[in-house]
Amino acid sequence: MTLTTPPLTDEDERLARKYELWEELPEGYREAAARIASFQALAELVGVLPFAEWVDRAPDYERKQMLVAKVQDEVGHGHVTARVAEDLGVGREQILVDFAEGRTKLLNIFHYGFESWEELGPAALLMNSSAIVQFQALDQGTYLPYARALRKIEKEESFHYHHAIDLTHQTMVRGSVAQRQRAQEAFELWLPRLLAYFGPPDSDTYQQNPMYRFGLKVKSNDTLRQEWLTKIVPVFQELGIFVDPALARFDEDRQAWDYASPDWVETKRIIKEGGPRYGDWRSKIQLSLERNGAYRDAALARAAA
Amino acid sequence: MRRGTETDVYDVFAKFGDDATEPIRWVGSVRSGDPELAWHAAKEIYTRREYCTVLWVAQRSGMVVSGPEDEAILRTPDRLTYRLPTGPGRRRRARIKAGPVQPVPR
Repeated sequence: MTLTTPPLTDEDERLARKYELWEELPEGYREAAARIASFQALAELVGVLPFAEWVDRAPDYERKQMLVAKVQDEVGHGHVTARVAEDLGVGREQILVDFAEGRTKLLNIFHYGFESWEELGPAALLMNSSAIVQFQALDQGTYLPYARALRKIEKEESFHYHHAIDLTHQTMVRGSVAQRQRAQEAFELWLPRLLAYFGPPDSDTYQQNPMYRFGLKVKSNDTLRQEWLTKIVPVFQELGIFVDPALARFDEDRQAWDYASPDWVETKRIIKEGGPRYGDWRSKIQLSLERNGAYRDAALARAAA
Repeated sequence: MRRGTETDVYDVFAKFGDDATEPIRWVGSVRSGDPELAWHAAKEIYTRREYCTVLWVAQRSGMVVSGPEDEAILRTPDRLTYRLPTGPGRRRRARIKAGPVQPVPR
């Protein structure tokens, strides 16, 4: 397979010109930047729900505190990215209402919940590490308010990452055989989901994608997927998780990872029709919008007065 | 320049760490219907990790902000060359060239 890599000068040029909110933006740029920021705001706000429901099931006080901190962090990330979107003309109410009314799609990984405490650690570790790899690429992007928001977010994601390692380590070192088995199964269940999270394999025309051309998307899906596997597979191995070569294996000759291809048909179906917990998250957001509506309206009326 | 318009957006400024000489920096914004609540939101959202020593919020509608049209007048070096260090430098070289100053005869 020959890889067609654009010449470095072109690449530099694509990411060299950065934009502030108040600058004149190329046609279509504002909408594209608003889309990426509002998409992330929703992912942060909904993505925290599977964790939030474990707060009152955490097995000890320290874990509960760490989980509460994580949940608060993620909601904060939702606010920060929603502010970026709002400055570009997409209100946070709209982001949430569009989701509650089924108009926006959710990333595949946020369609699920956790069945056990032992599942939460490995799943969180896979999620956080992939988010970090994503953000470290995206923060090199051309829209500066979004890049700044990501740099703030990364610091906190790093805390979540170490928390998830610690959590998995506790299960693997102190847990019963059954608990360790659940952690192993969680890894095998979530690895393909996260491989799919990075998006479909690169097409020949990915460089024509407007998000990519605007420098809002920085690296290709396959590049990110490879970087992520390099980062995360050794971490799991060190935690005593068996990484089946059939799932992911580094090919020394090609200097690249081979991995079991995620079920793309199922991934698309989940995103289109909703996964096991999609309905729950939607109704939670809907309820919270209704419950807080009166307070929100009063606050905004007061601000406008 | 122009007046900010949003009454429910507060820009957040903070100073982090022990270094007292660090300037207060703009760190982001929050949306709120009330200034004190905006400050609390800023505290919860922007001071989660680093040790924060100063935290301010300013209502965006109360701010005057520069725009792209102000770029020319903000570029001091281009329009006010006499303020640049090269001005005094040129004078200094001329002074050296002129040689030692003769004392006033008494």
